Amino acid sequence: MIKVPTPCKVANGTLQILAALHRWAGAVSLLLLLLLAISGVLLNHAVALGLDKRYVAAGWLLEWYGIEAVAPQAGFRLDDGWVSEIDGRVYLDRQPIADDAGELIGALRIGEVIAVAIHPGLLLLDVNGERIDLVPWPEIGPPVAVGTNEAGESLALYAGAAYRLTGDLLAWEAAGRVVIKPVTAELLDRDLAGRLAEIHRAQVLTWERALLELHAGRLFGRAGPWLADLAALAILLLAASGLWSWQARRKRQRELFG
Amino acid sequence: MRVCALASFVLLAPLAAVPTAASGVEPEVERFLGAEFGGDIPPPAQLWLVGERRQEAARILGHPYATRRVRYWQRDARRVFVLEEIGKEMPITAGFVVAGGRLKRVAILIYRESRGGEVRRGSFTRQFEDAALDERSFLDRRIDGISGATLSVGAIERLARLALWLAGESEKQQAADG
Repeated sequence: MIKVPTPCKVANGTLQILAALHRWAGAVSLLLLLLLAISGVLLNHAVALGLDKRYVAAGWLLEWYGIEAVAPQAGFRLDDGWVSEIDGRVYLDRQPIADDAGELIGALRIGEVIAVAIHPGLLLLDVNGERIDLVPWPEIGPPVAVGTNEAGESLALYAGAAYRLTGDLLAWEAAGRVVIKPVTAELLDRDLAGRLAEIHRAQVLTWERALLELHAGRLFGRAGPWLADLAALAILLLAASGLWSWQARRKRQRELFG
Repeated sequence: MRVCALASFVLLAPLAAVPTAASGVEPEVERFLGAEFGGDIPPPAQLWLVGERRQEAARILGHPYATRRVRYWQRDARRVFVLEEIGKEMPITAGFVVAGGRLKRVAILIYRESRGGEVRRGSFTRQFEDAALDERSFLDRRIDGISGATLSVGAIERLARLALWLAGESEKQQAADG
C-alpha cells in the first residue's frame, strides 16, 4: 500500500532541505564575505588611511605576487654618488627621485645642481636630492645623450642636432657647432646595486593595490575570480534559500493555525 | 637603462636642420602660452620657493610644492603660472592667468589620472574666473565640486590659491628688485 505524505510532512522535509542549503551557503561564503567586506571598507577609505602611499614589505606577499629584487647593472657616476634606474624609477644613491621616468639617459653636475636626464625632461635637483625643476626637452623629444662642452655648458645631443641649456637653467636653445663630451653609464657598485634591488622591491606594491587585488580575487591567481564567483553564487543562494524558507514557514503556520 | 653606446668621449655634433628655437615646455603648455600671449611668448621668469615662501606654499597646498623653483611668464600686469599637483596618483598640469590679484583664466593642460577628467570642462574652470584670495589665502568664492572627481577638484582649487599667492609674491619680488 502506497503511503501518501501529509502536507505537514512535505513542508517539514522542504524546510529541512532549505535550512541545510542555507547553512552550507552561509558557511561557504562566510570567509569570502568577510574578506570582501573588510577589504571593501578599507578600500573606501584608502586615501584617508594612507594605504595608497604605504608599501607592502612582507617578503612572502611580494614573492606570491612575483615581485623580484632586480638589481640595476649600470648607472651614472657623479662626484659623490650614483644615479641609476629600475623599472622607470630613478634613484640618487638610495633615494628615489623620480617615478615613471622612462629610460635614464644620463646624469651630470651643473655647479651645485644635479641634472638627471629622463624621458620627460632634464630633472634638476639640489645636492640633497630635492627637486628644483624639470626642464622639458626641446620639441623634438628626449635626446640620445647629454653632456658638456669645453665651456662647461650642458647639452642635449640628438642625431644631427644639439641643444644647449640656457645659463639660468630654464630653457633649451639650438647649440650650433659644438664639441660635446657625453656622459656615459658605468657598471654600478655591486653593494649599492644589491641594496637598491631590495629598496625597490619594498616600494613597488602599495597596500591599496594589494587590497584591490584581494577584493577582486586576483590575489589568488587564476582561481581568484572563480572564488569571487563562488562567493557571489553563495550570496544568491543565501538570499534565495532564506526567502524560500521564510515563505515556507509562513505557509506552514497558516496551515497549522489558520 | 641604456649603457651609452657613445664610446668616444668627444663628439662633434652634426649640424643639419637644427630648429632655431626650443622653449623647454611641453607642447600643451606652449599652446596655452601661445594663445595667452598672442603667439609671442615672453621669456620665462622664475620664483624660488625657499624659506618662508616654501612654508607658506606648503600651508596652502597641505604639503610642500613639488619643485623649489616655479616658472612664470609675464607681460605687463598679466602673469601666467603653469603648476602641477597630484589629484589621486598622477600630477595634473594646469595653467593659471592672474592679473590685478584675480584669476582671469584657468585651463587644465595635461590630465594624467584615469578618472576625474571632468575638471577639464569649461563649466568647471569658468567658476574660477575673477576669483581672488581672502585674508586666509582661501578663494573668495565657493567652487562647485564634481561627483567622482573630488580629488581632482581639490587639487585644482589648491593650485588656484597657490597661483594667486605666487602672483602676489612675484609682484613683491619685482618691487623689491626695483
